[in-house]
Amino acid sequence: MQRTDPVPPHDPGHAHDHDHDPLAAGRWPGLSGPTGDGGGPARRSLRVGIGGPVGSGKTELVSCLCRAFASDLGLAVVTNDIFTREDAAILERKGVLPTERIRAVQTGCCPHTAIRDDISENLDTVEQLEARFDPDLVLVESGGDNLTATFSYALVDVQIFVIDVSGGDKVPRKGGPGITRSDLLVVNKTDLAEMVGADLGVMARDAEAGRGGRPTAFVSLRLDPRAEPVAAWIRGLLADRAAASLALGTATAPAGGA
Amino acid sequence: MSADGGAAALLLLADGRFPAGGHVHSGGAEAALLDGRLTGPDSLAAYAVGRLHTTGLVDAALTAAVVVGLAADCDQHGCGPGRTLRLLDAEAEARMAMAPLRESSRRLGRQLTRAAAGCWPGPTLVAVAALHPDGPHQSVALGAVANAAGIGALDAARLSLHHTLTTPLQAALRLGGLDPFAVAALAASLAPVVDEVAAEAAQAATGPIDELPCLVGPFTEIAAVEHAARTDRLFAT
Ligand SMILES: Nc1nc2c(ncn2[C@@H]2O[C@H](COP(=O)(O)OP(=O)(O)O)[C@@H](O)[C@H]2O)c(=O)[nH]1
Ligand SMILES: [Mg+2]
Repeated sequence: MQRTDPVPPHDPGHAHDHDHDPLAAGRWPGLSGPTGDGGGPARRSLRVGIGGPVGSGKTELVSCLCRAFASDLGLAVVTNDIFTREDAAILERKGVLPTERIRAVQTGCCPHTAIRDDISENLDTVEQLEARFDPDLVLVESGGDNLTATFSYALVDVQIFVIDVSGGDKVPRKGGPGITRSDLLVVNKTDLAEMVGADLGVMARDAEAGRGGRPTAFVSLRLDPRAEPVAAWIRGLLADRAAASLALGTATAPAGGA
Repeated sequence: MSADGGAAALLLLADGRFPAGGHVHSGGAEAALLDGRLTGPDSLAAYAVGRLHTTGLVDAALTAAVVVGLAADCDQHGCGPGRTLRLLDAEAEARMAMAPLRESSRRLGRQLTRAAAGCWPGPTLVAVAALHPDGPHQSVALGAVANAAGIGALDAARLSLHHTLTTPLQAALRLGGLDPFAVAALAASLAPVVDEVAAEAAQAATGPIDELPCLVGPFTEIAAVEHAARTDRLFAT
């Protein structure tokens, strides 16, 4: 059985006040934050951070997105696993992306520091991939940490936080910045919900209550190998971004269809 | 300490929280732990002393020489920072026999330059950023940043050695589950060595640049090459 409850259907025609402005998304109110390169539409690629606890399905999500975008978008992936090559090796084995577009960075035993407090190594790696491949989309998978590990918006434009149902339905209620402030919360492994007695309705309600209108997607990546709701959300962001750069007169190639 | 207002900047740059990428490096400590050269507090102390007197002195002298050279450029010749930076970057390059060490030195140099550019903006950091397509060597970048931040040659050398000391200590602490208080005490006990080597480096920096110190630790260099090829490492170096 698969439940894909409150999926955020992206609606590019809808007037967005905050959620899909990559510069404003999820930031502390009033803090615009220093970014590596201004972060705006002048840079072509959209950088998406994928965080969440170990085993929730981050690497699986990266594989699914590679599959979903394989035919029409240029992709690059940076992984931050604790054992540095593990995630990259999985992606390479699955053959979802050419090896040279996947880079693993070392995080010195501190995966959260490498995506938040001192992003030097990640930013450097992202920029190298952008310089070499000019991708539409760069996915940065975090090393898998606790519920408080989130990305700096100087490294990514938006962040997805992935949890799964196997820890029970209390996780969204527990909160923490990943749950409450991520731009998209993904609740994965809905196929296991029944087995572990997790009530998806409760999870949806708690997530809704804590996220101030930011979207939540319930998925089973096992049953949905293209992560359709997440892919649709990213396509929406790419379309918004293309529209924003057109409006600014910045010449960027159209990045994928909406 | 500096008489010219660089003291607070020095503290910022010495702080492990300064976001210049250092936290993913172990200064060879991970490699030494993996191949059994580092086994506990005693060997960690010996390891740190060894590094301070070899690669630590070399890097500190290069950094101090950049500070001395940049000051002379401005005061005496009125020329830009380019020449000093180019010459010392070549001297740094010549002192690193192993490719992985050269690569990570440039990577750290460009990360430091990025972090410092917004802190002490000006022509020196613009020049050092443009020095090489892969970034300046770390020692050269640190000298340029010190100069831009108003830090003198001796303090710049001390700053370089502070990182030489604390990088492997911090990494060994994380990897080996050592007692953090014992590691802090070890660092404090080596502070006089930092001061002594810093004085030596600053002295060397006033001499001809092709006579700057040139010392290596062969084991650490070999281990660095092997380490770079490992797939299970947690630290970049
Ligand atoms: N049953 C089930 N297992 C999943 C699902 N998504 C991922 N997994 C499995 O969960 C494990 C951890 O996934 P992974 O992507 O490596 O987690 P990461 O640590 O967050 O990167 C792997 O064995 C996946 O095959 C799902 O939707 N359902
Ligand atoms: Mg993973």
